[in-house]
Amino acid sequence: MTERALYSDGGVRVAPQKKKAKKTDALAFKIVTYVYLALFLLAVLVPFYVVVATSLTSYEEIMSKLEFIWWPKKVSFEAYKTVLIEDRLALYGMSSLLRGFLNTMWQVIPTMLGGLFVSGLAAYAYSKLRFRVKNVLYVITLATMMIPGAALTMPTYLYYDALGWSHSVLPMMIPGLFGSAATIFFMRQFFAGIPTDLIEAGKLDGMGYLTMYVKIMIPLAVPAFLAQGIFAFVGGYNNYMGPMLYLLDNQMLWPLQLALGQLQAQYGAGDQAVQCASAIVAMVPLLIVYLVCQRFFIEGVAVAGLKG
Amino acid sequence: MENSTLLPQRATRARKRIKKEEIYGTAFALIPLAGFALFSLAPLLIAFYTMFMGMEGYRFDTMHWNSFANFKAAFTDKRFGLSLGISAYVTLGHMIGLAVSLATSVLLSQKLKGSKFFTVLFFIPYICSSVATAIMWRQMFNGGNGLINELLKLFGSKNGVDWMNDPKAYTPMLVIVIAWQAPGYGIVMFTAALTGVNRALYEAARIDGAGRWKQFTAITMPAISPTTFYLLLAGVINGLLTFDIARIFTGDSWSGAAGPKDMGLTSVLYIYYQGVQFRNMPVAAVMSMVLFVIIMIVTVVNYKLGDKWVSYD
Repeated sequence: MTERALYSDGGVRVAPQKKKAKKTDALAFKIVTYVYLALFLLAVLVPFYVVVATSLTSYEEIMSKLEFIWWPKKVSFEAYKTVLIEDRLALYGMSSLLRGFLNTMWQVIPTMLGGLFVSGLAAYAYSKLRFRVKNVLYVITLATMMIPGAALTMPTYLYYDALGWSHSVLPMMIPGLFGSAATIFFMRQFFAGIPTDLIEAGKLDGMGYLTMYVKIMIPLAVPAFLAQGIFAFVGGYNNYMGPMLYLLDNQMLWPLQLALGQLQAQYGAGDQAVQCASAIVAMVPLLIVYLVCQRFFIEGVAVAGLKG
Repeated sequence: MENSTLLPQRATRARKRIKKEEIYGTAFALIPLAGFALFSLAPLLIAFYTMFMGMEGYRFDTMHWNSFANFKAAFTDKRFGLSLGISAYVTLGHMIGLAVSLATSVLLSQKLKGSKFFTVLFFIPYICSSVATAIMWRQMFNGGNGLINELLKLFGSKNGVDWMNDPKAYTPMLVIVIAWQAPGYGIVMFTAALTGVNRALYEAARIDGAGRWKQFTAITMPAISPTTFYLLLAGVINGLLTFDIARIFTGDSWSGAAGPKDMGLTSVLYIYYQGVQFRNMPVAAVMSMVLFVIIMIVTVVNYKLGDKWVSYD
């Protein structure tokens, strides 16, 4: 409906004759735009409002009413207490979401950093070094992007099981260390803008190839790495399927999203306040990081995704 | 003059350099490809091999030729057929998201006051995990006290819709959830593409008397077509691979059912049931390969059709 509303003022009226008509037309278009944006914003934000309101409603109040509660009569933090301090899935006195958050950090960050380093290294080779098989390897690297490996997640389980990895964090942590084709593609384009003279100068100084990458390229490419890193971090932070396949029977290792998924199964649809509170607790860390450095996120995703 | 004595020495050093450069360059470039071989190609080959074998659990030593029994099982499985349909259906959510993000970014590109504010907020669903998104929307769609039913009742519906138990409502519900989450990424991508469009073209079009719609179709659309193409392809692939949201909405289901009358059974969810829950990996391998091939075909067709409307300048 909204899209139709957008253009219903008909561009035809912008004919050059009447300046006044043009002005009112522009104003009308502006108003339609703002109305659309406001409605869309409402649609984006309403679910957040609903979970916040529900998370603050006591179990008794939810049970006593069979209709939507816009705001609880009495604000209750019971659900947050449950989720943050001692939920039913707590181990050694640590709530599952808290432990999940810590697990996510150590399971995601090293792989992200290692993957960035390796992708950048390959991109540096493709853009600044001369070797005979360069073009062949680059074409193959790009071609790997076309292969929908995600469709094969289940048979891949068989492979990791044979390797003895199927009850460990290795399937989430090791493959990422080898970099990604999309990141290589992006970094190569970024490196192309760095003068090759710098590398030539490095060679004259007797620097090794790895040293030149670390000392010359990386410092100049920090923004590009940051963009790719954010992309990878959000993906890792929100990863649910991998941990669910490989870590389900190992509660100590559950990352945040798996803990969240298990928590909602544990409390069932009945305890809505706990469900909502757990979703909020799981989202808030990333939301805060986002709102504080949203510029990097948006620019990062925009450049990282371009043609990637 | 001094140089002449140094030259031969330099030349050999340069040659040595080049040889070293060959080795390092090739090695650096090969690491990611080794990762691809180990973690994508090897599983692909194993999946291929497994398709033709019977096996007990996940034990390779029990593998044996079973004369295409897995294929027969997969292709006569009505639930698998249904799951492909459901996956295609929920892809609609990504297409709606694409349309919404295009409209939104074009409007935002007018440099109105507050454009940035809107962009920042519109992006939020993208950083919300599928699990959290599913929990939020289950609350919204709650049959008893959800907001959506409250609004439906406000507009005259008697009891609202029993979203979680009505087979006709269940898949549209998943589509809505996906359509809510999808635009964040699209808006950022389109906005980036739109800033690259040459403003002078619009000025010229306006002088020629072209209206907004004409400007949009004649200038904007062709200029951002590579981004549209990329988002379209990514949207279709992500839609066909939908798992997280379908799984969280269904919850733990030891019978392998997914929603009322299986209306939430996406292909990847069903393959998960087959492979992990029923421990029937060979059949899961066949189904995975079917999905794999479908996505490859979709990709190729997209590229072929893309030649007609995508312009890379």
